Amino acid sequence: MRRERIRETSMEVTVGAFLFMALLALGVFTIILSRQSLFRPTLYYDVTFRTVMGVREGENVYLRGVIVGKVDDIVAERGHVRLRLALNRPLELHENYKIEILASSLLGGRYLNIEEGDEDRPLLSPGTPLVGTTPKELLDEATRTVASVRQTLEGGVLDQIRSIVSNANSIVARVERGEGTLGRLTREDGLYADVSAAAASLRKVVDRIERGEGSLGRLLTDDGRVYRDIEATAANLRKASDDLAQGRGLLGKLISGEDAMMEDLRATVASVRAVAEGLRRGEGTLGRLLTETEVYEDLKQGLRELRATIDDFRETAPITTFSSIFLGAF
Amino acid sequence: MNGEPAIRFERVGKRLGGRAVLDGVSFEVRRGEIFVIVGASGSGKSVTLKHMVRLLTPDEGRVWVGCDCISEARGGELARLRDRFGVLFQGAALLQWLTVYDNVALPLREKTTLSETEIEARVMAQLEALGVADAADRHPADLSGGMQKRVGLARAVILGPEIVLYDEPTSGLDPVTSRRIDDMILEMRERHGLTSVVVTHDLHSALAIGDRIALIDRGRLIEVRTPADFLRSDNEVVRAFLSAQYITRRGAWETEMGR
Amino acid sequence: MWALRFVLSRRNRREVLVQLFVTGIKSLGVLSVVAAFIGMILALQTGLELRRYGQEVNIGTAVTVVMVREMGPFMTGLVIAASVGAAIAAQMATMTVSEEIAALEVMSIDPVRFLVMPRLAAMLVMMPLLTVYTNVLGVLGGAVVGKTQLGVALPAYFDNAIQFVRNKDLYVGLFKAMVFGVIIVTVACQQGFQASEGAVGVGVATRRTVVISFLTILAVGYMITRLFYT
Repeated sequence: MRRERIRETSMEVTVGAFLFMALLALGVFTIILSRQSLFRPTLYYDVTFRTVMGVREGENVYLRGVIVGKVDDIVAERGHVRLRLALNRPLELHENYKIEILASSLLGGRYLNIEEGDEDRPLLSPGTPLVGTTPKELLDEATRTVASVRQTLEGGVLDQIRSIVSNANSIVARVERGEGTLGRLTREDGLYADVSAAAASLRKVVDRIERGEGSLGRLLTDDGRVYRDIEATAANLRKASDDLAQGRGLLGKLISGEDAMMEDLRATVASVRAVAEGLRRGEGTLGRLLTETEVYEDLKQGLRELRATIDDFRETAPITTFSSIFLGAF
Repeated sequence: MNGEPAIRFERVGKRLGGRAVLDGVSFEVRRGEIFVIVGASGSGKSVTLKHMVRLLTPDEGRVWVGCDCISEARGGELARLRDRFGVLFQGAALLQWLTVYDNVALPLREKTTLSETEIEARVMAQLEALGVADAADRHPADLSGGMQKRVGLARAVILGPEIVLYDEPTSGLDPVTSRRIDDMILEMRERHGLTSVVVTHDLHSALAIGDRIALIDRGRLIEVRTPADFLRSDNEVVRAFLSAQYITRRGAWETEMGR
Repeated sequence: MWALRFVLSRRNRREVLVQLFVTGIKSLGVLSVVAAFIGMILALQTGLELRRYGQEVNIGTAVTVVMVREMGPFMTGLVIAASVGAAIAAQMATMTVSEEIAALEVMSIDPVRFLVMPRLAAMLVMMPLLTVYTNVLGVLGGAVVGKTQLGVALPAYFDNAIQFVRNKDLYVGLFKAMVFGVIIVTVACQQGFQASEGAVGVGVATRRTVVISFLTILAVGYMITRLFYT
C-alpha cells in the first residue's frame, strides 16, 4: 500500500506540474496574442471608413511605424464601417491627420496606419469624429502605376522610339538600294585599288577625327555641322561629276539625276537628324538608348569621310564605306 | 425451506446470432440450495446464468428473482435486484489494474458510504476467511488461478448477497484446487446460508456439491434431479453426458456409496 | 462543470489522476517529437518557397498560423488517437472479453461512469493542454529551422509569428482538440465494449478505433474549421 501511495504522489506532482506549465503557456499566449498591455490603460478610438477592405479584428495599428494597438471591434453601419481601435497611448491628431488601411504584404494581411498630421496645423478638438482614408489596395496601386508608366511610354517616348526605328529602317533600305547601284559602278570601273587606298585614307581621317572631336555630346549637338558637311559633300560630289563628265554612264546618271542619289542622301540626313533629336529627347528616360548613339557617331564619321574622299576625287570608296558603316551598325 | 423459489425461469427463450441458445427453459432454484447446471460447452448453461442477473435479456419468457421479474426490471429496480446477487465469473473477472485489496474493496467504495477504515476491516476479514489475505497488495495477474477465484469470490460476497452464481468455478484448475473450491462453495453456503447456482462441466464437482443437478443440452433443459437420481437416470442425453465423463451406473453406485 | 465536479469527487479522484497521467504525461515523449518535426517541416517547406520572394521571415506567420489553427490540434488528435485511444480500446476490449465489464454491471457499477468518465474527463483536460504544448514545440521547431537553415533571426521570427495569430485561432484550435478528445474516448470505449470473444476481438477493436478516430477527426476538424472560418 505504501508503494502505491508513493507512486500516486509522484503522479500527482507530475500531472500537477504539467497542468501548471501548460496553463501558464496558454495564459502567456493569450496575453501576447491579445496585444494588450496589462499595465497600461487601453484607450479606445472610433474611426469611420467608407470601406475597410477586409480588415479583421485584431489587426495591428501603427503610429508612424510603431505598433500602438489593434483593431478591437468592427461594426458595419449604414453607409460606412466603424472601427474601434484599442490603443495603448493617446493620439494627438492635427487637422490634416490621416488614418488609412494598408496591405502588409502582397500575400494579404492589413494594418492601420495613423499619421497625426503636421505640428503647425491646429489640433483637432476633442470629440471630433475621426474619418479614415479609403484603403489602397497594394495590387491595385501597382496596377495603376504600371498603367501610368505605360501611358507615358505610349504618349511620348514610345512614339519617339518607334519613329527612330522606322527612320533607321528607311535609311537602311535606301542605302541598300544605293549600294546596289554603286557596287555595279565600282565593278565596271575596276577601282579596287582605289577602294583600298580610300580605306587607308579613311583610317587616317578617322584617326584625325578621333584626335580632334571624339566627344559624343558634341556630335549630338552639332547637327548643323553634320548637315553642312553633307551639303558640302553634295556640292563636291557635283563638282566631281562635272569633272568626270564624259560618259562614265552609270555614275553620271547617278549624279546628274539628283532625285536618285541626292534625294536618298538628303532623306538619310534628315532621318539621322530626327534620330539624333529623338535621342536627345529620349536621353535620360531610357539609358539604354544612349549606347546606341555610337551609331550616329559612326554616321557622322562616315559623312566626313565621304566629303574627304570626294575632295580627293576618290568617289567610290567613301560611298562604300558609308553604306558599310550603316549596314554594320544596324 | 421457504416455499418461494429464489430464482424461477419461465419458458425462457433466447436467440443469439440467429441460433436458439435457450429454448423454452423453465426451472426453479430453491432458497438455500446448491443448484448445479451441467452441460457440454456451448449448450447454453452460461447463457442461463447470464439471464439470472440480466446480463442477457430473454426474447421470450421471464426470469423471476424472488417475486420480482428481473427480465423486465429497469434502472434502479434492476440495480436493486442485482444487488441480491454475487457472481464469480469464469476468469474471476478481477480488474487487472487494481490490487487484490482494491478489487475486493471496490463494491464497498462504490456502493456504500463506509469509511476507509471500516472498508479495510471488512475486506481483510473476507480475504482472511478465504485464505488470500497475504495477497492483498498484489495484482490479480500475479496470482494463481485458484487464488484469483478466491479473490473473485471475496469480491462477490463482500456486500452479503442472497444468491451467489458460480460460472465454471473449477475450470482450468488442477483437481486438488478444484476440490478446495468445491469446499469453499459448500462453506459459503454453510456460513452465510446462501443460495448457490453453479454452472460447470465438471461432473465430479457437480455431484459432490449439488443439491440438485440440471442438465442443459442444446438450449433445452433435459432434467433436474438430485445427484443420486441424476446418476440413475434413464434419459439418453443424461446417459451420454455421464458416459462421456466415464461415469457408468456402477460408478454411480460407488459415488452414491461414497457420499 | 460536471467534469470538474466529477474530477473532484473523492471516489473518482484517483482514477482521474491515473488517467490524466496516462493520457497526458505518457504522451509527451512521442508528442514532442511529432510537434517539433511538424514545426520544422512547415518552416522548411514554406521557407524554401518564400525564399524565392525574399520573404523567409514570414515563416514565423506560416508556422504559427498553421500550427495553432490546424496542425496543433490535428497532430495531437492523431497521436493521442493512435496511442491513448488504441490503449483504451485494447483495455476495454480485454475487459469485455474477460467479463470484467459484466462483473461491473452485475455489481451495478456503471461501466460508463466507472471507466469512460475518468478517461473522458482526463481527455477533456489534457487534449487542449497537450495542444498548447504541441503548438509551442511546433513554433519552436520552426524557429530552430528558421535560424539554422533559412537565416531568420529569432526576434524577427517571433515578431512575425504573433503578427497574424489571434486568440480566436488559439481557442478554436483548443476547442477542436477537446472535440477530438471526446471522439477518441467515445470511439475507443464503444469499440472496446463491443469487442467479440478472444484476443482477435481485442485486435479488431483496437484497429477499428484507430481507423474510425482518424477519419472522424479529419472530418470533424474540417467541419469545425468551416464553422468558425467561413
